[in-house]
Amino acid sequence: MLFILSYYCLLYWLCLHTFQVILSIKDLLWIIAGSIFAFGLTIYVINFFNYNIILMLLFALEILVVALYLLFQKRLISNFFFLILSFLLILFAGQTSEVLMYEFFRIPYALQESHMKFILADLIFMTIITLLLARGINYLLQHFKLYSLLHTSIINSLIISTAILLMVIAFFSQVDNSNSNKTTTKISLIFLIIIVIIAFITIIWLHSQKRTLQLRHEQETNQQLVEYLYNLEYAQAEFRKFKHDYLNILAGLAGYIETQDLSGLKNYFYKVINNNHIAQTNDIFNLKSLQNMKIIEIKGLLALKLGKLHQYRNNFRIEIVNPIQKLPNSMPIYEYNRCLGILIDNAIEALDFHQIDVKSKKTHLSIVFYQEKQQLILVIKNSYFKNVNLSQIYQAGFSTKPQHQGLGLANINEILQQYPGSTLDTEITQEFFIQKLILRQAV
Amino acid sequence: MKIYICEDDLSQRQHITKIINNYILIENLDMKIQLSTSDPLQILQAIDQEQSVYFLDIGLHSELNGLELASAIRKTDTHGYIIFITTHDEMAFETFKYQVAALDFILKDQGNLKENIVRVFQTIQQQLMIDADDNDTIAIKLNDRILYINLKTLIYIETLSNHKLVLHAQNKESLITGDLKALEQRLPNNFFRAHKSFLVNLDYVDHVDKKQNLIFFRNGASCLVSRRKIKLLTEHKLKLN
Repeated sequence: MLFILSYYCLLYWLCLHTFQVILSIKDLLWIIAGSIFAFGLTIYVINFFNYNIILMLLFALEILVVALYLLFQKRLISNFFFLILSFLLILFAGQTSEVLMYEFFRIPYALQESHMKFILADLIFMTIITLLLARGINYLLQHFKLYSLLHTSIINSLIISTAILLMVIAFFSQVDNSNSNKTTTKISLIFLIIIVIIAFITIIWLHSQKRTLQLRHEQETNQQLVEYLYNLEYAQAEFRKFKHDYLNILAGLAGYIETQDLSGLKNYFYKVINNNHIAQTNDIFNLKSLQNMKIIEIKGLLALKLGKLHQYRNNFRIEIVNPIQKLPNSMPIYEYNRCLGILIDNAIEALDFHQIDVKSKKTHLSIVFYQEKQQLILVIKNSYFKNVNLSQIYQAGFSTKPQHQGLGLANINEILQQYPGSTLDTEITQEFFIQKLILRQAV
Repeated sequence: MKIYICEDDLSQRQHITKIINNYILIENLDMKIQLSTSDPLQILQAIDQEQSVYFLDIGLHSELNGLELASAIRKTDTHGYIIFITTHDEMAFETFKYQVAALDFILKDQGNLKENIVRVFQTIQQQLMIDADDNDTIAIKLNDRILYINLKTLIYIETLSNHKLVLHAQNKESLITGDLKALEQRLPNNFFRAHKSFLVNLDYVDHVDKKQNLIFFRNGASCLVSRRKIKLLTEHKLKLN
């Protein structure tokens, strides 16, 4: 029995692996230790129930152990769905293999569960079905691009997981060893059919959720545009003020020129250029640099993100020297904007604002867009104050920020994988962290 | 070394040309002004592949603007020093650096023009010294991008999942998309494939720990080496020396 249990656990881990829940050797060792402890404790406490139910109970316990471990590593929320899904898959496979044995080889269920050779045959069938189904589902999820949705949307994961759990509980309440073979087969078949229907519905549901998310993104873009308009109006007002001041200052120059006071003129001139009052109308110049970004969704995003850094406007620069009209066609604009948003957020969050000396005007963050041979190149450069290990930063769940899920860069990776015309290079020097996102034109 | 100047404001161009000429005379530099003009097309006709210095106005009001002129120059003179003359508004140093590998810039509306030019020449001298030692940057074509790798400072390359490579160099680390095998074929002999996931620069290897199957580098970093390769490694290293 323990053998069967460990085999189930092995299958479970294989399933998780197929669903891209990454478990390193160290992780597995911890899980094995935790499982042995949990199983031992449970078996010691409850030793008078039916063998079959104990097995399933202990197996359900395995989910708990893995879940606790992931919670400890702060990876639980994004992978919760797959824990439940793998459990259902193995249950389904187990039941299906028994039904197949009965239907094709006429071996009654009671016999199947008591003779070693039938148990082994069942296990083999189960393994094949489990692995095939896991691969199939993985392919579907990748094809419909649902992984990022499942990793980030807690509500979706919870709803579907709950539905699955309810089904499992419903199934267990019907199955009883005293049932005749026919009844067991009937119940199993009903169970199987319900699963298939619900799976179908689920995929359609998730797909529609994805559309909803897309629409929400577009709404956000619209909002950014509105904010940009407000910024623009503010800039216009500032410009009018500036013009007024400027004319006054020019008038001041007239005095020195009339009296031919060259040194006085020189002093006045340089004083004026360094004058903070005029420098404050730099707001206009900031938005001017955005004018060359003719792609309106990106313009809005940049205006929104950089507007919040108003206080530090001397310490960041945005350079768009030549007008950029169109995004190369290898990625849709809302996906590019998502990547851009994540990269800018990361860069801003990496800055330690306490260490920035606003007066020094040293650039701590720079965002550059330029085009070269039909490629759009974005370079985001920020100074950083903590050590970063390049090998780790792209893993889902890794983050140097406390209480953070670490999904941003992993999400970018997923997006980039779907669109082959895009590349992201990262570089760390002693002073700066540099991200370069290149988007090519698909031929 | 030849110097080319392109600035379309006559008085500013004359001023800049005069300052540069004086500086070259006083400092007795082995440089001369080959051409000073307001027409970028003239510059393009006059240049050749020899490494030269270019002072270019960003806001040229002609067929080509400063950046386009610089890109065109880069195609012919790949190692030349490009200096942009710009105003505070038009300043876009990061773009200059990434798009055309410009060396430095001069602000014509702030500070003393002469001091700026002197400072730029000092930067040029420094860069000349650095470049003399450092002929070791190669360009490698991977997929459809060109990667510039400095062979002298590259310590080892490590693979990550998803076709990503981490290049560990002395002062920086880079994460790029690429294939280790393709790189291995294009790098010189002192690069050795020590493991399925590691390509190492033998010049940086300090010692090998055979028990733990680790290679230790001079800067303290380490990486795995497969047991089969350890023997090959020692042979290979002897061959190189």
